[in-house]
Amino acid sequence: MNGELKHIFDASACLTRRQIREYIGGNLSVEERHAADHHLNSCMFCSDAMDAYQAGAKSLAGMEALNNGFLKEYFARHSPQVHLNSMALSAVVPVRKSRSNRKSVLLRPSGIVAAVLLLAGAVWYMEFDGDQFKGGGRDAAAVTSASAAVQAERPPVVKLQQETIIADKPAPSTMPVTEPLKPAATVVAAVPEPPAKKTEDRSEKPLTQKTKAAENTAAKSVASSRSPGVSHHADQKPANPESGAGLLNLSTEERIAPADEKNPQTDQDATMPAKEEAKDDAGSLFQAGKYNAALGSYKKLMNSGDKRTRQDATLMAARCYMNLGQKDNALQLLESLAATGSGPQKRTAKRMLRLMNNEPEE
Amino acid sequence: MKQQLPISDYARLSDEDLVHRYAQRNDRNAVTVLFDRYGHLVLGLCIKELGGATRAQELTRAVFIDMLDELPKFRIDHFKSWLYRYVKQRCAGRGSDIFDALRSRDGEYWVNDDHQVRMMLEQAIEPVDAGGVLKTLPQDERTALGHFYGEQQTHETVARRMNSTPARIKKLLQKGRINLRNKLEIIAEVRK
Repeated sequence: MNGELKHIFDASACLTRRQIREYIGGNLSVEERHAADHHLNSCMFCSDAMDAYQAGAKSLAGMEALNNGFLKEYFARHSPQVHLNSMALSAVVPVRKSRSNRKSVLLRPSGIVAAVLLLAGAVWYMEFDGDQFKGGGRDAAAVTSASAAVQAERPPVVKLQQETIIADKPAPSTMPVTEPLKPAATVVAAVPEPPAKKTEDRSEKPLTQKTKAAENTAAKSVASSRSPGVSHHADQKPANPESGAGLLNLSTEERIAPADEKNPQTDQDATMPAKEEAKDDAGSLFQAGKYNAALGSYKKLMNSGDKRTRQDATLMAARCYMNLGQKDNALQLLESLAATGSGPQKRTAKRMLRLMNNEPEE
Repeated sequence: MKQQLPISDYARLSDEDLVHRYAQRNDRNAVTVLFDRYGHLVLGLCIKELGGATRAQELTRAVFIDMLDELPKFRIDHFKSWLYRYVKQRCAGRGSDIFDALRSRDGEYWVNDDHQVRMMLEQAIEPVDAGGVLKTLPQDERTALGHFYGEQQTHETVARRMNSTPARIKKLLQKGRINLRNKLEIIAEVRK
């Protein structure tokens, strides 16, 4: 009886396409059909497929059209077939890919990364070591720059000395090379940073226009020197702001500085009122366009004992020469003032020289 | 060095041998033979599950292409059962996690159950009372099993005799086999 029961659970191969086709077509013998039914009772795969194919002729046509061409195409598209059959181990139990292979695959990139890191570290170490052996090349430079930074905060004279040693940059032209230390107020008043930019902008204009502007400004500067003090400067307005804007700011600063410098000399110079009147006269003549007469007055003032009056007169005399077309004489006066003068008059002389020579503003 | 098998010899190899040859030796002929064995069944199952022949053909191709990558990752003891489950789940719309599900249940398929029942019946010292076991089954199942296995009839013949359809008889026989197997397994457990 066990044999009969065992027969119920006999295993058999799945149905082939031909068997399915003939089963549906009714072309199998009774024995063959019973064998097929026997398999269908036990194989859900074949049973489900048979159900589908029995449902419609279209499904059966799909089965007929099915071929393994796509597999061959896939194999052709991917790596070419390697017949590892002969090289394969005769292993009985197939196991998943061993982890050692995965490790070896993972170790390759990590090894490359480690080698690159080692190389980079070695290069860095060599460079670092080299810097130390270079000695003080960089260290000395660093110390020098640091000291320069510290010295930049010192007064101009000390700075000049350090800059001469380092020889990095020339001393700024606005700073007098031989100028002694001034009081703080004077230094502040003598730093014309914004006006310098304006002057630079104006430097592109023709020389005649600039010269006229400078003349107007200088004349007003001389005229305003009678009333010293910042308050006067605050009330002062340029007669022609457009034409004199370039040097106007500078001249107003010039007006401040003499006021500070002038105070200690007030008691010493007993002839100051007379000189002021002469200045006014010369300034009036200059503004009236009588440059020859003004030049004569300024020449007299150039012999004055007061340095500031002498420098102002020299500056105005140079302007008179320029208006008279005697450029060489003007240059000579300005060069002498730039070389031996001091204070805002000297800076003005330098600027006028640069304008006349068409040199860029510093 | 061993020579590669002739194509005709692949037909004699079991499914598991073919899978092994592909997984371990990259033997593409083995995959082609597996497709010839099961390609039309996969297609039929896809048609039944999806309802459309065109989509079923596309999925059939996809199943075999994806299988090329997945077969080396598995230790497959019963390829047909594994493939059946795989196709069913692909038809249900599951993605790559199918393989994870299959991996955890490797070897626990319905084909294996028949094999175990056969082994139990072969090794049984004391014969099993087949009549007594069959009496425990429902009447229609018992009748269908008797006609089909006892009298070696076909589904159609049994259906005519039982005034039913071949499809219903097939279902009855399938259910009867499962119930009978469960009874025999219980008996085997009791005898242990």
